[in-house]
Amino acid sequence: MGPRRRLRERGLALALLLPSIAVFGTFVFYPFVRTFWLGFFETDPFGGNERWVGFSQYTDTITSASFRNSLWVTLKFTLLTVPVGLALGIGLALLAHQRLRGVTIYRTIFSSTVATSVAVASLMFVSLLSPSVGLINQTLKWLGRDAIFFLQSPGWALVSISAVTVWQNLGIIFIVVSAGLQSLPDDLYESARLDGASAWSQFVEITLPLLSPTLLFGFVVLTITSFQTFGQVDLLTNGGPLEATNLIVFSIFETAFRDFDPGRAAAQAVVLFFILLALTLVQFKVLERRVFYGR
Amino acid sequence: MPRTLRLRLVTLVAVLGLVVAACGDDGGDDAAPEETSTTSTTLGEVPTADPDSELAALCPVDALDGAAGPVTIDLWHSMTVELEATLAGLVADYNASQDRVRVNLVFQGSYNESLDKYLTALRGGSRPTLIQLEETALQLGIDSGSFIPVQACVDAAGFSFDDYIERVVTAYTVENTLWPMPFNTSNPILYANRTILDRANVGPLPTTLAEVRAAAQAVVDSGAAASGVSLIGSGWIIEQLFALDDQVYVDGGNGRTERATELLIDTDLGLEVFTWVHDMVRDGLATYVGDGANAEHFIALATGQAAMTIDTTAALRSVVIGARDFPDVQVEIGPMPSVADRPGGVLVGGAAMWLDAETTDEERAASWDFLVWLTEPEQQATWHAGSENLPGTGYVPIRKSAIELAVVTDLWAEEPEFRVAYDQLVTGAETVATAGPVIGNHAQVRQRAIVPALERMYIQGQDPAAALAQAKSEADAIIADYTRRIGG
Amino acid sequence: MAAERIVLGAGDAAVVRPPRRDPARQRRRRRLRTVARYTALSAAAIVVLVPIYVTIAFSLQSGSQALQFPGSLLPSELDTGVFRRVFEVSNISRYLLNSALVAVLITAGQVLTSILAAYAFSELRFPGRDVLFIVFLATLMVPAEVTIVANYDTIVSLGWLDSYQGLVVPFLATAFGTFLIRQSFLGVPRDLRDAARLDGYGHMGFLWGVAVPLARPAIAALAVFSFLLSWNQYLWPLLVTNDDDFRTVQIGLRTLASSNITEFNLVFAGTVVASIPIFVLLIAFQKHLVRGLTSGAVKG
Repeated sequence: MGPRRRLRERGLALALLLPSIAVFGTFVFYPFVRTFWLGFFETDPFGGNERWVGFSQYTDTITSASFRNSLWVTLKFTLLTVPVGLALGIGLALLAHQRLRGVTIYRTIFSSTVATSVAVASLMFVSLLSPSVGLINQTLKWLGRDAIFFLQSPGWALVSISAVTVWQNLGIIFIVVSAGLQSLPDDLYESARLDGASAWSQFVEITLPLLSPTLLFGFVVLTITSFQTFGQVDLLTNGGPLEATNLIVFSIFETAFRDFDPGRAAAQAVVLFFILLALTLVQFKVLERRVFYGR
Repeated sequence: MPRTLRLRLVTLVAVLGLVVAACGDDGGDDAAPEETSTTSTTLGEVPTADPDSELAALCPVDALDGAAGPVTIDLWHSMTVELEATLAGLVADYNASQDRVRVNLVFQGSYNESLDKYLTALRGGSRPTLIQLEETALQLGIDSGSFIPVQACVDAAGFSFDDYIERVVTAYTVENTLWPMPFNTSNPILYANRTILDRANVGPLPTTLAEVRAAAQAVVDSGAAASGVSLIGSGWIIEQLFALDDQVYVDGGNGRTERATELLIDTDLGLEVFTWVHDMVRDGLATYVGDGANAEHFIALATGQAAMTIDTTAALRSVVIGARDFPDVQVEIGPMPSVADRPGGVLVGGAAMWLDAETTDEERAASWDFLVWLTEPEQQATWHAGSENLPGTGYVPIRKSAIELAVVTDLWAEEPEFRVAYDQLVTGAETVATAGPVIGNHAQVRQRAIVPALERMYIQGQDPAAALAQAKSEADAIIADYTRRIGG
Repeated sequence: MAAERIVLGAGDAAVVRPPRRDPARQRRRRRLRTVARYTALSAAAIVVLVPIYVTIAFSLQSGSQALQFPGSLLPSELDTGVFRRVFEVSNISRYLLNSALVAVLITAGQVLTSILAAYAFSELRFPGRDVLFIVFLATLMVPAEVTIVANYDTIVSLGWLDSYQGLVVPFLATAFGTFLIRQSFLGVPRDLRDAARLDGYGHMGFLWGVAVPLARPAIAALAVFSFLLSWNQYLWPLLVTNDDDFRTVQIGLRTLASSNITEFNLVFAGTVVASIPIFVLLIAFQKHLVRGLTSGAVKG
């Protein structure tokens, strides 16, 4: 390739990449650096009286019981929603992946939660969870039992938020896994069936390995989004009761925009970033080995 | 003091003040006078108008006369349902009744959210002319340095608060300066379902904590309802119980003489209050239903789950309207129960209107014109009792002469539950305790120290003394944090 | 199933027992299996639909009606006027419009920037290409918490609060989309490229004339994902919009819920109204989404 051609190609590459670079630079990398910097300063609630406080906000964060609680709550939440969500999605996808009359109706129903956004899903669950009006408690009352305060008791609150999340994610997981299932070659199953393999071993030996890239994708996406869960908490529990649902994004948001302490919030965000980085690296190391990429 | 001497004194003070202000470190670039921590005199006194004060220059109430066209002012508010409808109706009336001022109503969510947005706007957004802030925001508003005290307009206009309910004005006055203009004033009342109480053979409504407990016991024992009281987690109600006992809540003259540094709740009264709520829930006489934001306590009342609840009178109109849907409910209202006797009085709750400092003279004059109109007896009567096409609210009319207007007397004759909050407000001592505590981050103290303490007692059964001690130490730390951050 | 146990080993001889052949029994077993399948499917469908159904049922009843269990599940008197009241009481049509506009703009932007960037990464050669690609992927690692406060300050200083730019611009690029489309471009056969070059197609001609049409499934999948994610945004719109005219439907619902706590049938009706547009889109584009995903877009 001639030098002039090379130059033109580089110029073209720059032009093509510039929009993305501009957006990422302004809204990902610059704020990232700035947040580190913000963590070293303390301000008053009105944005004034800025003082350098060094690492004190960082150390305060690490030693703060509330921050550690938020991490723990978020971890619990992730454990409650990701495996369950994936398993249910896979289950539904398998269930609907059959040649039955009218199965498309079921497929549409199972994907329908895609239409429910965070706010819609959370508010719809109020119709189930409310202590007085909610369907579950009305049923309990009808059966002569006491009402369960789903959103007002620490034990149930996190479970309730998780249920909303799992339900809301069902649609997209179902669609993704279904698509994955559809692309699996029939002949593998055919020969397995001829050999007399049971449905379960077909699943374990063929489906799972071949689906593993899809499942990894779903797993990573769900985990990332679970660490960014905010809407459900904001609409249903406000982080309570007793910080039982004080997921990390919510906690940082409250620090920044309710306590008006962006410096402390920045320190919390940075600490969170490093923890997540470590977690993701571990995740990839451990899971990548299990993914089957064979042709 | 002879007039010339006073004038010279005032001028001297003014000059000194200007010198100090010029030499001092000015963090903001607003026109409000540099406000340091409250160091001087008054407590529980209605502010007087001083037309010669330097504040008066900040709010030239005649500026409207020279205005070219109608002056538009933005009012950020947090009123919902019937409250919003009534406010919108009042504003429409005001706009229609004259052509010098146009008020533009903007709903900004809850008080917290509206305050969020305002403080965020301080960093470079667009600020409103007027903003409705909760009573807890008093010290925060002062510390922000971003507001003009309404006292400026009071001074310039030589305004008198004679006809205003005294406590309503003193609540928002610090150092003889009225900061926001009071508007929607509420206090807590006891909501009860008379049908259930009758079934439990409970007579007149309880007025003390002990009587509430007895009534709840009767309700539960007779099976008239599953629970006696539907309790919400509220720091506000704890403060009310202190005020009713004429006890200050924080140091520094309830935060009015000096900046508050600690909660004074680790007293016998505090322990009594905490023990009462703890035992009510432990003994199954009261149910905890959250922070009340979802109206669960009212729904519990409506659906017969509980016989009583305690909450603001502001919700009264909505409750009365909503109760019509439930034939089994007969709403009865009583005063806020106190611990025992009532040497003090209830605190002023609700919100008030703050005037932003980044406003023109005309906007300030316009705002003053609107605020005076809004708090006139006729408007306060409409705000309280409604009119042909406005629903009205449960807020207390803050003008004494308003209660003589027909619309109010008619309402009180038909639905006497609406006068309970008013009667509470005009009885009792007018002291620093009943004027209410003034804390910089008052809302955080409630949310992060008091409410969690209540929840620990209700949900985890934490011992009241331990909960009280923890609440105090956490609250003190929160206050110290705030004070450090503002450089005080 | 009858006891036919197969041991699948690595090339070991499998032990097989011949299944019993009985046509009638087979037919009965098959029918039972079909019934079981339909039962399982229906049960799952009911569970998935319960929240939606209950919300709709409650939205059509007044407060006290909704408490008559179990009659509330099959309401007789339906108050269909509640849906009209939603439009009267709140600005929901404006909210829906805002969400749609923002989602369309973000989707279009993300698709465009991803196509351009993906082409650069897959077809062009320049120094630092691989490093830059990793840097792109690194943006997926940065959680929202870390950037949100600083981004908010940026928006404020640009004067973009309460504006469409503020809602759209920060999201106009996506590393995920770039990755997806790049995968697709990499799958374009070499000979096609060589043929195109021989025919005199420059890079742009090849991109838009050949590569993009071939990558259409991946692009469609990206478009659907982007649209859904933007529609679903909650925290960002909450922060950068105060003005009711710029609220998106998520925050609009939040406002509706907080200002009508006593009239929950109204709130429920609002959620139904808010989900109808997406539901319609879902039904219309479900096939495209599936096709895009099955084209190998999501594979390793």
